[in-house]
Amino acid sequence: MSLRLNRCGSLLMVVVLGSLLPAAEQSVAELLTKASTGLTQFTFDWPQPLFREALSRATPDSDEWAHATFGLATCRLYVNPVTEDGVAEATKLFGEILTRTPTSRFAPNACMTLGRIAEQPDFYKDQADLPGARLRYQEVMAKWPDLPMAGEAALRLAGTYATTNTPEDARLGITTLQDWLKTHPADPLAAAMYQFMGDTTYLRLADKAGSLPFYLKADDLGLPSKTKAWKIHWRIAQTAQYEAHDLPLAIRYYTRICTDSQTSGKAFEAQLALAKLGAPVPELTAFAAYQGTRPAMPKPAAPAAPAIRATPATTVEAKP
Amino acid sequence: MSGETRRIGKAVKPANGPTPWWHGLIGINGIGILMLLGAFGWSMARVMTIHHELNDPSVITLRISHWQLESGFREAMQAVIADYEQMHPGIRIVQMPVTEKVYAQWLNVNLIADNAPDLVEMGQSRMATTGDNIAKYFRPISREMEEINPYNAPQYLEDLADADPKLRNRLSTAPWRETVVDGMRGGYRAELQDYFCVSTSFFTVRMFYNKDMFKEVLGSEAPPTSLNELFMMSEKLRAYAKAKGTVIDPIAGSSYSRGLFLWKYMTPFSASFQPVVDWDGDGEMPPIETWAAFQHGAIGFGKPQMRAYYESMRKLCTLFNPNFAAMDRDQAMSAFAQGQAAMIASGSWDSASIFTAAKHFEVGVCNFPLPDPAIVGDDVVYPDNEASTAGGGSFGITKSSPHQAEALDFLRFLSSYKWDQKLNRLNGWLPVTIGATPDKRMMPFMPNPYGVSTVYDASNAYDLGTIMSGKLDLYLGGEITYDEFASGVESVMKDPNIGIDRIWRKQLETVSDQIRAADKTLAVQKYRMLLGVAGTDTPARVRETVIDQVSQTNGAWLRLMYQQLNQRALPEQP
Repeated sequence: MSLRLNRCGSLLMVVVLGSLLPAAEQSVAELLTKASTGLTQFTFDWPQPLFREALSRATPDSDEWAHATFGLATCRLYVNPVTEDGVAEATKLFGEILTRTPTSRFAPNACMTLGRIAEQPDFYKDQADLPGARLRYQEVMAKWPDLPMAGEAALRLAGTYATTNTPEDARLGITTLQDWLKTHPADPLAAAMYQFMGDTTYLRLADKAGSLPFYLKADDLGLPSKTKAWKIHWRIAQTAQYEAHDLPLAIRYYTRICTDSQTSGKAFEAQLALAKLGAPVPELTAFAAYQGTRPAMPKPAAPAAPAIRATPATTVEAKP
Repeated sequence: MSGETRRIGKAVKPANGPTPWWHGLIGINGIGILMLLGAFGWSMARVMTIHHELNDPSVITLRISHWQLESGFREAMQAVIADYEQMHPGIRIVQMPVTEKVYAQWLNVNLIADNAPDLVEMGQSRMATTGDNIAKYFRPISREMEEINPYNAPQYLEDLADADPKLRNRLSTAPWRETVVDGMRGGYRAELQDYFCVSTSFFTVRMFYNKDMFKEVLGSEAPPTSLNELFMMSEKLRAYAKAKGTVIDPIAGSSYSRGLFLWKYMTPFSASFQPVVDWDGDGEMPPIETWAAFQHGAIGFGKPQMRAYYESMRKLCTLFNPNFAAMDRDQAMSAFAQGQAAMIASGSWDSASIFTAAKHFEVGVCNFPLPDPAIVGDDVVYPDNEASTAGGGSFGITKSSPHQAEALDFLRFLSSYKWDQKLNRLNGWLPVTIGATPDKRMMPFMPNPYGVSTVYDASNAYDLGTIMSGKLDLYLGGEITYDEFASGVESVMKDPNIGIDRIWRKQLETVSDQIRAADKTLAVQKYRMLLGVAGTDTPARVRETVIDQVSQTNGAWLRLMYQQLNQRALPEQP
């Protein structure tokens, strides 16, 4: 009897102790896979300890090390609430990637993110460091000129100049992008750059007509946002009509809004503008099923005039 | 126990020997105990049955929560669920309707506890509406949006046999996103650059009217064609009721419907302000441009259009029942259904409830009659544009759902041509899938594309908004004059602590938050690209986010706008 009890007791102890032992240790690759699943789904809290453990066990300066460092830094930077300590640790970790694994696939992102940390105030009383951000963006442009990220860095560099709201810096931003596009005409962000130059000319240099060549070039290349393209088209049409007095151009873009952006909420106003200009008014075919009343179109105010201002679409230079 | 022992309600004869134990079970107390035990037993059985049903390993149970308690929705949803369950015998779907009064709290608790339903109607709660929370609790479905919806396969499109082949082809071969009217805008979160939910309906606002009453009192069942005609019709309705010794309110008003009138009439009265409000000339006028225009005097309460707008709204409120501010929308609907009011304003989401409740008369539907151009000071007046209406009735998949693949499949089913049409026809809403048509009665609710942009948008005003709303209540209730309302609001606008300058500073904070949110989105998207798990359109989305973010210039455009309009720098502190 006592022997049986002893056996049972031993078995119980084995079970209890067994349950207290840690589960089979996960490999670094498994830890990274699990943590990555969270991070790719916008989760920044629970992947942190997994990345940290992977970092502690990965071979220093290996790809796994760089991955764990990058993942941990990203989580520390973007977890809510953002803290000064979190930003400081993220800055340190991104910096380590650049110094210890400069050729890693994570290095360009790390450098770009350091630029963003410098440019954008992240927590209460944090100050923007525009010169520091510019250095990081220039570093990305110089070290990885063939990556798409280099074009992003050029655009962000121009953005730091526009941020000051002075005409001199606005022109500097435009020149930065023009110089970049001379050597990288096929940059995936080329359309975005022309759009940005158009915005800068229109808003910061207060030269509405001068913005048109930039916008037209951006539109030729394909505006980055298809759903918001109508805003640029509206600006082109209105500027062409009221500033550049280029009525054919205005008609072309009002028509584009009627045909390409029927669900923008602006198509009917474009129809009205076309009617007033005496131009053909396209139907809003997407709403053919609408059975309510359709307002009468206004009569033309004056016959459509020929173009007063030729609009270059290929060679675009900022005004001095 | 003595021989004088009495049981409650019944005298017991004295006994010589000890009372048997079971005597205690007889009488009122015993019945009570038995009832208690019975209720307990029934409850246990019920709990066990439900527990068994929900945990039956051979069946997957999906839970779907929503706050649509309007007449018809639950039944319509159940009909669609029944079709799905018949097609998928191993899956059971349970609706969890929760009143909108507590939906937010209920959802918050369940999301935090990782106990949220598999599918959740997105809205009401901050946890289902703000970017950070959506990213935390809901599963992004952008990649799935690029896939074909299998429930739009040709075998499910028998209704469209005679329709345009292009339509059938688009439904069965285009990405899921392209098969809904709004391009799934209702499910897209710009700040996260991802889709998180799927729309099933879209909504517009209209006026409902009692056709029988119109015919009897006004001699015609035609709706008013102008705001002025509405006022004249209302006078006749009031006079008729007075002559009959009864009470008929021209419009069943409530705190809810008042807002609808204010919103729908904003555009026709203020469209002429567009050239002075649209500072950046992009055709879109966010609230900050309205406040900026107020601040530098381009618009103001002294302008004839503004006065006409508010005075017309005041006049409209006199057509409501006198205690409208204390009434909710259900009470207003009840008054309309009982013939105590001739008209009511509400959204298409209430149409089934109104059609069902109004049993004794025919209900007509019309758009809000426009003001006369002369009042607005323009040659012609247009309504607000509804072409950009985004889908609603949107459902997202919670990250805590143990059955995400099945939940996603049901969402595809729900938003497919055949079943989205069925859901919305049964429910009396507007379907969002291309080619799907609503019930005939819902045709007047189809979005009106022949309108103009909203120009005057006095929202997002923080303290100033609260004060303005309070003063507006007093004015619309007839307690203060228009001039008192205007001067009261204008004096607060100039206050450096709570006036328009504060709106600018709050807007700067908002932009800063948006930029940081975009940074977060970019970080995740670029990380996905590094790992090779990004969607095919991710690089394009990243480019879109980058230009959006860089264009914000860290809020510098707001400072530039302030500087240009006010000829001084935006004060950092009050």
